[in-house]
Amino acid sequence: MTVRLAAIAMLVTVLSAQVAGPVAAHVSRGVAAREAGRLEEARRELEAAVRAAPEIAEAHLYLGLVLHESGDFTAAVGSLSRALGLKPALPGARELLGYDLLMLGRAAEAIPHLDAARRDDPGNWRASAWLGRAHLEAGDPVAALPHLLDAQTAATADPELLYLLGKAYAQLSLQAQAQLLASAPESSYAHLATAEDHDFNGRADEAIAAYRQALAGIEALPDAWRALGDLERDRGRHRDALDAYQRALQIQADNGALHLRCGEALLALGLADQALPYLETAAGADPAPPAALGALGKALLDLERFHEAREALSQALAALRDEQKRMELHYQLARASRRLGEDEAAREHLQEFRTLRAKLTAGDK
Amino acid sequence: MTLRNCLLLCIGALGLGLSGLFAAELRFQDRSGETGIGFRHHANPTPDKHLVETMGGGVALLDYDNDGFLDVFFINGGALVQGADGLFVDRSHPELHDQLYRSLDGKSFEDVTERVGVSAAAKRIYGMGAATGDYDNDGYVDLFVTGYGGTILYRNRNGSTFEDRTEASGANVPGWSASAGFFDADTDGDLDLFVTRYLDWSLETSRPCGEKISVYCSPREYPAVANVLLRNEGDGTFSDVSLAWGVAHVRGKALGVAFNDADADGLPDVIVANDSTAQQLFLNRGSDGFSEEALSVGLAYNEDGGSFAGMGVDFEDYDNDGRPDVVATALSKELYPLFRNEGGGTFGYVTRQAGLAEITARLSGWSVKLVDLDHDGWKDLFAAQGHVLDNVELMEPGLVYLQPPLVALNQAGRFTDVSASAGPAFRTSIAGRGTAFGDLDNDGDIDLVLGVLNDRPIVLYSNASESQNHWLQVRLAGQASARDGQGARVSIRTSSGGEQVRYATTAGGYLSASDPRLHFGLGSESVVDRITVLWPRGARQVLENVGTDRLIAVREPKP
Repeated sequence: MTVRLAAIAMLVTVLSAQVAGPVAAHVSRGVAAREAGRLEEARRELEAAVRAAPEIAEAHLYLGLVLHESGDFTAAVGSLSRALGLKPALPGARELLGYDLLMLGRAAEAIPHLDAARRDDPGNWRASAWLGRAHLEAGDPVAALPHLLDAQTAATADPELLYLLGKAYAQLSLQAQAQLLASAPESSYAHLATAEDHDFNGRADEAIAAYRQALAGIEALPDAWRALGDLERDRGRHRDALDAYQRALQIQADNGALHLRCGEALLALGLADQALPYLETAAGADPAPPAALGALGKALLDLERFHEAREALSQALAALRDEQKRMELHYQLARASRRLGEDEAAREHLQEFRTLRAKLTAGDK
Repeated sequence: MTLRNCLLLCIGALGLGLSGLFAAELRFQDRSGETGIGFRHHANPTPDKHLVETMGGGVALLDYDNDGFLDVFFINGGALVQGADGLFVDRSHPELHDQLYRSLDGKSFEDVTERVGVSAAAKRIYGMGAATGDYDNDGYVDLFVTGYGGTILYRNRNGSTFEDRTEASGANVPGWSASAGFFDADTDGDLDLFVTRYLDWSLETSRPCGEKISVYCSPREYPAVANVLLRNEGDGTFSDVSLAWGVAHVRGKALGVAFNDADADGLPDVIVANDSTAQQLFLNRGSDGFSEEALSVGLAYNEDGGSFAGMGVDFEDYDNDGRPDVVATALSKELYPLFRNEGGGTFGYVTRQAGLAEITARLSGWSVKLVDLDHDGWKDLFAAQGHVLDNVELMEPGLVYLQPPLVALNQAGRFTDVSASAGPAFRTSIAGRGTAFGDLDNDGDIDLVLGVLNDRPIVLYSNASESQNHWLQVRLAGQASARDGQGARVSIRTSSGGEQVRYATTAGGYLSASDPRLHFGLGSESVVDRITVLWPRGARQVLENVGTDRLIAVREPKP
């Protein structure tokens, strides 16, 4: 997203009409130099013009534009301010000044100029976006958000705008959490917010402790139980994970993903017989989730129910496109086939396994 | 003992036909400071993160002077020194020597390294591990040392000194060798030698890995390499039969090796633990050599077809069904894989079912052994531990470099972590590596010597013999078979119908060699009804009504 002065051609026309003699010559050479990309030369000519005719607001604006394009935002702010001092309603000057102030880190000063630019031209989505950014940089995401959303209606996929929107939401989230932690630091929701922050940042032990504190106050937080279970699972503490998942399941009895997690935890504990009902429930959804079918197949392998294992694993294989998962399933199907005495099928699955494994580990020496 | 553990144990005892209960908690006493062992391992780690620096070193228990007590041999690392032609390995400083400690009484030891000639001071070998076996059948155990830059074969001269026979015997294995083991591959009555090799790596190709933080490279960064099988020609020399016997056709990244008869055909098979690539099972086809069958039998990968960082490996019957199973160590989050021999030529991955997923999820292991530590008739699990990356905490929060060793009791085929109560050594975080197992003080139970990277070893004495449980040890003496009996299959049967099997080997674990005596825990059984020895050369020998709590010697019948 770049700032574009909407009416440069008109500015040049107006400017040219106001000057004569030597000033006109400077303006003419300055405009030509700028259009040819010779910004230093343009600057010299326009500085000469404003020295000779300091009362012409358009000359200051045009010089401000050249300075802006040269990246000399400090000097641009000076020229643009002088232009607006002479002619407060000069078209385009406020957007440019607001942008350049923003570039200089002077967000609070930029806000009124960008706000005026947006009001002057409601269709100027860039002015709205810059105004939103100015509010963000001034630490006010609440004020920023409507302007950014307004700009997004005109520019749905502008990368910088999307970035600014994300930043606004993140700041809002942080503000709300800071308020939560300041006003009710020992509340379950404060612990929950802390837990999620630790979890997001990979601080598993701290996250586990905070989740437990949150859940000690309010038990009816199924997502927190699930998140706690996932962390315990990743720590290899499958009994604790199972306990957490079962607590979540008490609240959301029909949640297939929780049934799957309970089953997987029991499988990790080597308790396939206990895992089976959970996995059958998880795999009973329509359509059956491939992950649940795969886990069910694994449990049935453990229980040496090889025909049923093959059926579940085959269904999972038919539903999956992910090559890593397919590789795993072929390996398990080879085992089921081998135990069923179906050597040809076992060989075929092993061949598929080898092919996929070779592909997936091609980078290894 | 918890009620649940008691129930499991009782059920297990019924299954085995044993009724004994362990009267006291299994504990190991750390007597490292009292033994007189002054060895300290020196890997000399550098900022350049040469991979060899984090992989050593091994320990061997051997009774080199046949006085009835196990002596202890430590393999040191070395110093990487910049010379005119680049880096080389220097072992000249005394602190870089390998060291042999002679046992005086099972509890105190004297340094006999210089006297017997096993220091490796003049070698340019960065030491890794050791294998033990009487390769010349003279009644004295010999010693093979592995490392980066070559190997060493020491012939034991009548229990007094060792003679370096490396070049004369043809037993110099180039490259980077790791675990090795003596076994009678062709059952001709003398011990052959299997030498694992880790990577196609050298000091010239060595480099650190990592973007922001310098770390030891993953083995995935270096090509695989073939293992080496040396045939004992019976005249003091070895010939390389790796290609001819089908071992060198497949490459791997091998660190551990163990032997047993996987398919009950009377021939020794070889399991090789590979780091981050498929494990290997070399099935012995007799005159047709070996064929690598790990994938087809279900041993190559974990249950999802994923590779793991196979480090140490053991090949013993953990569930007392008479068939040898396989356990290996791996890195954190990979779990220690346990493969149950299902009979019929297949293995099933039973890590979860045996309780090891819960125990080992965050652990990184090296030496591993299935051995009956509490004398209840079930082989328990020991693992020396510590992550391979000395700065893993910076790479992945939640993982740790130094870790205490693990002892997990086997209760009817399911393991329970009892490390917390097994003694202070099991609560102390170290960089554990090789470990040798054996009865140091000849009191009947299994003690262990744990090698620690860049530190002093830990010598742990078990209290299992103080329990009410009985035990039996068997020392084999071959006549037609190899003199030290390696390769024999010994099964015992008790009055209540329980049966256990041990395979005679000093190999297994990681970089280490253990007591050649076969050890059985017996629970409350005070008599062994029957001992059956299947000798490698085919003889079958039966002993009946054997008393317990003793070491018995079994000599192979003359052919």
